[in-house]
Amino acid sequence: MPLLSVEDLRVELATRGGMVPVVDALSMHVEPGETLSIVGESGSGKSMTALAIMGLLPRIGHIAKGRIIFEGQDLTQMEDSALRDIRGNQIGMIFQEPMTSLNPVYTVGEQIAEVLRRHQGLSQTDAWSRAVELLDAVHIPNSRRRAATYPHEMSGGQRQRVMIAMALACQPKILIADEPTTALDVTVQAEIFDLMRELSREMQTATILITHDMGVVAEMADRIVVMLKGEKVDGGRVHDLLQNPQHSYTKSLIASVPHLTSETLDTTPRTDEHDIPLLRVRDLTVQFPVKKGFGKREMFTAVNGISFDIAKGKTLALVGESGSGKTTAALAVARLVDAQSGEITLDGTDVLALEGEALRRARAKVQVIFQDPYSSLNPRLRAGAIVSEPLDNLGTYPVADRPARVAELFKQVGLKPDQMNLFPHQFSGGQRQRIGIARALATNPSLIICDEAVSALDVIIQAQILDLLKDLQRDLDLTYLFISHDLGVVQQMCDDIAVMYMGDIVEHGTRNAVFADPKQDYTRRLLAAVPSIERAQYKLSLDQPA
Amino acid sequence: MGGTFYGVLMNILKVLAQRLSYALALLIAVLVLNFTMINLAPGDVVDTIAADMGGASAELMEQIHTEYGLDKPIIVQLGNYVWRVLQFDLGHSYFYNRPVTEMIFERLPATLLLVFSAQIFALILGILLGVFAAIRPNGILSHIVTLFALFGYAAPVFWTGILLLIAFSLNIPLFPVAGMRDVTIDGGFFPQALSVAHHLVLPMLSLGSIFIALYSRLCRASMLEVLGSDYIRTAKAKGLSPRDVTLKHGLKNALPPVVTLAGLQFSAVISGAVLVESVFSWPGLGQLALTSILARDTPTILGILFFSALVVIIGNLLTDLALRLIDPRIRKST
Repeated sequence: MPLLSVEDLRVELATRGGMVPVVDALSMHVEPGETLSIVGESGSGKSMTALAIMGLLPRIGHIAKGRIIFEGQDLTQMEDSALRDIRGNQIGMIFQEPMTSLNPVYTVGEQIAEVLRRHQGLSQTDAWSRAVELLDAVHIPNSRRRAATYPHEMSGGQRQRVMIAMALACQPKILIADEPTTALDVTVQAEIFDLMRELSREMQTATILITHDMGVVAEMADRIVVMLKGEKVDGGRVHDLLQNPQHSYTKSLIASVPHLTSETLDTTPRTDEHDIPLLRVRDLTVQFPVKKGFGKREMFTAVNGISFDIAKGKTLALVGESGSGKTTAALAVARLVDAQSGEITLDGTDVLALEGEALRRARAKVQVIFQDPYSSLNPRLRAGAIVSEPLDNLGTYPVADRPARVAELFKQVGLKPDQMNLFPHQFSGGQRQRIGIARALATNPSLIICDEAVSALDVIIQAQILDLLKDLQRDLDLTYLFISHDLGVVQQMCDDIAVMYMGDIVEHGTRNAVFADPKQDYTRRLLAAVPSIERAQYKLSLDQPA
Repeated sequence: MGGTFYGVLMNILKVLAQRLSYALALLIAVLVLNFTMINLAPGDVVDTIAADMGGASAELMEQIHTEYGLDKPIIVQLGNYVWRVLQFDLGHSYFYNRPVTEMIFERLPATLLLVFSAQIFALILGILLGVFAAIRPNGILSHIVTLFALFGYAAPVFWTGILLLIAFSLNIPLFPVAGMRDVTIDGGFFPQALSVAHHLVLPMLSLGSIFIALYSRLCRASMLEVLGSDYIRTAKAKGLSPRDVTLKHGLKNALPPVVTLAGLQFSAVISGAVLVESVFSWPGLGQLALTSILARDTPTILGILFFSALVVIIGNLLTDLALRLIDPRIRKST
């Protein structure tokens, strides 16, 4: 008998237009100790399924049909108080955002101890010492001292470890992990997955892992359910499904996983006509003052004397984890943060010497595409006004020609000119990013900085936006400074790569050289941490007797 | 710094020392400002004395001026004043012919009692109403809170006071409508305190009503935001009871904005108290302020302003410390 089975589940959300199904006719089951992965893009209903199992659907949602059987009991029919005895006890859950999922005003020790007091009836002191043991189990160093710290004193990876300790405190039979590593750096992701594997094996906990990344599925899961628009479109053992996907959507998901091996790289040399560097950066250093105690100030070096060139029409990727200084370096190039020292030359102009009106006019030449298409567009402005704003601000473009220019930009980024009168919230995430790109193109810049420009998008939309960026580069001879933590994306986009680590460029070379033959340990670690289907299959073949 | 008792205590002591030095500088600034403003107004106490006497000759007025030191240059008067206040001497009231400090200390407890009880009453009730309204944002209670808040904003405090006064003196004689204690009651501390509490009810209600409206409205909004956050979902996923989710995990996070507002409103509560004291004949600073303003009794007015500033500063200090107790992230940022 399966541990948990979902039968013909239908979840509806109440919207202005009436009841909208977000999960429909979903059946699946989880066996004791196994890892089942639910895969799909945002809005596919995978998180709603998890919340339905937990009985934590939002106020506007309800289960319209179907059963959720856990150890012989139908959770959908259960009293809320009985359900609370199961939640956090028999079924634990961890969430996507470790930064906001912990309560900021209680110590992490208290937040773990609370679960133990609630479900195991431990005393205050027993629960606390067990919480310390659990922090040990999730490999938080100095667990005794760290138990008394607050979430804001920990890094994202550590917070997710605390969440795991909390979810596993009562040794649940099932752990539901909803995109547990999406907000984390790739090397931290690998550590968190190692930890989840280790603990679920130890405690014989079954895992429901919700993700959008087929690479993660390949490395973590035994079985898989693929969801699209609320329905299950594919499913089965991961090994079989990867070999033989049935649904076209599954195929495109598998295709979107990066293949970080030299054989799969496109090695055709790109046009080498213009080799004059458009952007030349030398010994760029950026420091920030940090307050250390009362009245004491110290300088934090975010970027430590880095140098690089980008030739016209080419793309350089700045790669690194959060805090590596890659965004700061790019913002210094755009003169959005001040550099302490160094030289930046763009098209023969000394960028750091620009001031006042000259600087304002020069901003037309460097434009930025930002990460979050939801928060980087002013919600009160119409799409046309957003794209036209750089032209208005610059003032040099003839007023009468602006509407035509905006319409042309809309066409260039694959939007319809009659969408100019809509507001940002009326567009999808991918469309909004197209608006962001149109805005960046408006002033005919010579350099475009893409700051994690596709990180917030679903994999398939991501591929479309990357294609758009590549087409625009070819047609308009654009130069990109491409900032990303995602090596798969970088591999598709760039000509050269600079790997940043703690403010330094530790490795710099052509794409093929860096991917095929990384010189530095750190680069190797970064590459090894990217979940990959081939590696998972290779490992699997080692486990199976010949 | 962690969440240990010792760590929190040290942090609070450090902040206290820092804030007290700010407070002293602020008080001196308030003194100078008050003095300057009062002296900018036309007329002084000599005019009032002369008026009381039914007119006086120019020589006599000159003599009174010299007597009270009002003939010296204003900057010297200011210097003298600040120096004396720093020695806790607020001067002598020309009008009452008594030391100002003595009069203020006589009346300060009544005002403090009214101000703090109204503030605490408004906070407790406002937070309770706000929490209940936030649990069911579309429920009846939520609408009542919104309506009540609107009413509370709109109604002037003296009007609420007069309405209460009429209602309780004519229709429902449950609570006394004037004074602070029943002079006919003898006996120990307890019956006296009970009598004061009995007299306190109506002034406290009318002074607190505006602020209940303010706090409940803000608490509702703050709770609604907090209840939608990720850590509330985490708390539910732990299997905690709705009470623990709402109060332990929700309320503590929703409090900082409400406490901050309460701190900012301290001065408004004090100025409200002036009106309420007049309506209910509450023998506090407010009444004294009113009469001394009419009498142009500068030392008394300055003394009252000084003490009001002191109460506001202490109120803000308490707010700051309360915020630090609630939110560890604020403790970090000193």
